[in-house]
Amino acid sequence: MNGKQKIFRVTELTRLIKTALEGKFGDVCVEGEISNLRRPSSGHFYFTLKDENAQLSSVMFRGNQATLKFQPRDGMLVQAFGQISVYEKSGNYQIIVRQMQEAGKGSLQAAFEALKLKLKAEGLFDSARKKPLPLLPRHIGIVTSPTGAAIRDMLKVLTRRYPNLHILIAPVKVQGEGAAAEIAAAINYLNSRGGLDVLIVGRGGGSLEDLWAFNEEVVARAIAGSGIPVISAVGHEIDFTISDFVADLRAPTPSAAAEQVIGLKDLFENKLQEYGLRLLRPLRETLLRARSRLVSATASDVFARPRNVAQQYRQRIGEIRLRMTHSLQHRLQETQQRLDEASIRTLHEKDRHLDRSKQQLQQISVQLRALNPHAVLFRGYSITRNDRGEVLRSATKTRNGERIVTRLSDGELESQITGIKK
Amino acid sequence: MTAKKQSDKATPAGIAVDMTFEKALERLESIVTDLESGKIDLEKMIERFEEGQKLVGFCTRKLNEVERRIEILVNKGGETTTEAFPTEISNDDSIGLDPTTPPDADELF
Repeated sequence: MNGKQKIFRVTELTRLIKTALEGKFGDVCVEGEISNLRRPSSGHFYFTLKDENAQLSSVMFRGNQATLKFQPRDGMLVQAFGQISVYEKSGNYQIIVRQMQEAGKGSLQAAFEALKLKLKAEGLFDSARKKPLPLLPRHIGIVTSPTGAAIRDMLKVLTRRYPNLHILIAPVKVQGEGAAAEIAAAINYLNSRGGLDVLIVGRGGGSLEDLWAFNEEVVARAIAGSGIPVISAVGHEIDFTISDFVADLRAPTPSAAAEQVIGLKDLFENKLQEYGLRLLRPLRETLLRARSRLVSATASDVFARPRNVAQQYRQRIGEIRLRMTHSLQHRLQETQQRLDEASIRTLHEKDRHLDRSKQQLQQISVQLRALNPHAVLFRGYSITRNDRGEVLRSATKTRNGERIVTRLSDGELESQITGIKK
Repeated sequence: MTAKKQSDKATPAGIAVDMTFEKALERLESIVTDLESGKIDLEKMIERFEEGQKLVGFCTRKLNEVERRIEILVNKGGETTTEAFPTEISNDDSIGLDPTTPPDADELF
């Protein structure tokens, strides 16, 4: 040892170091990974910020923690802002952190943007790729954590309004090491297993790191390659992950995804009801129209009161028959009468005729009698006949000596002509 | 225009074996459009109506066919099978999950 070397006392030296360090650095901003985080009952955070080669003791007093926008955890990359301080009592230096933010945010964000661009360029986000959701989902696959609020909320929504539903849960880690691989494997498995109509892939809310598995390429490709339609349901309304872009449908929350499934079933039921009505109405209307046409056609006099009309007809026929009968009888009577009259007339006429004839006859007989030669004979005239029986009307038609017969009214005279005088 | 396949229609004999919801609803849409057009005669209307009814019956049956089942995949000795998922459905419609029995999911995927 050199005699000229100053000999410090510990406190003195430490004080000098403190002044030097604190003066030189003052407030700094340092980036490192949190490790060995403790939070005793005092509420202060004690931890170490480290990187590959060194570490820095850190403390964040309770009073400063109000500004934290995240929950510090081991392994987190952070940027801490505070002052370098030497704690004399322990001979340590540390940073007294007044503000802290996640450093990863910057790099995670960049990774997110890069992957988004890459997959978009491949067309994985195209709406043309998106499969339509099934008309009636009856077999649902859910890829999520078996514990936690997400599955509980989904089951609550689904079972409340959908009594006959088959749900198959594929349990996975939804954050941390290996989560992305599990999620992708579950999606692939459910596809190969088959029998499912739709998949819901998701988890409850969390930080960017918490949700990071759903931004991983392996998960995105599993969703893109799923033959079964996928509903992505990650985090809260404001959280957008790459899974959301690739999926066939994004639901803002897991509950919303369940509501979506219910909605499909309701739609299906409503459509069926609607079709039922739309089948019936035109048929009913056509039948009603046809019937009303029939009714109005039959409302005319001819059809309206068929019995009455038939009655009327029957009546008319009756009347006609009656009239016919009467008229026939009448005619018969008439004819009879006429005949009678005729016959009577005829008889009368006959009589008259007879009378006339008689009269005529009488006249004629009188005339005849008058003309009767015998009557003439009574007047003294005679008829002379020759021997040939011929009546002699002329004196020339005879000769002397002819034998003649002369008829007188009461007999005949035979004589011989002795002389002719003209 | 594609030719109509047998499976697109419900015949008097019944619904074709490979009838699906999609086909059934499509056919129903086509039938109601026909009926509402007013351009078909009464006999055909009745025929279509009956076919439509059969299709509605088919879809309704399918709607109610599935029994409620909630299950979870588990790894039993290297084999992936299913187990009933423990849920309670109580009268007040809330689902309480039993926190002690959810299967260990670590080795499944």
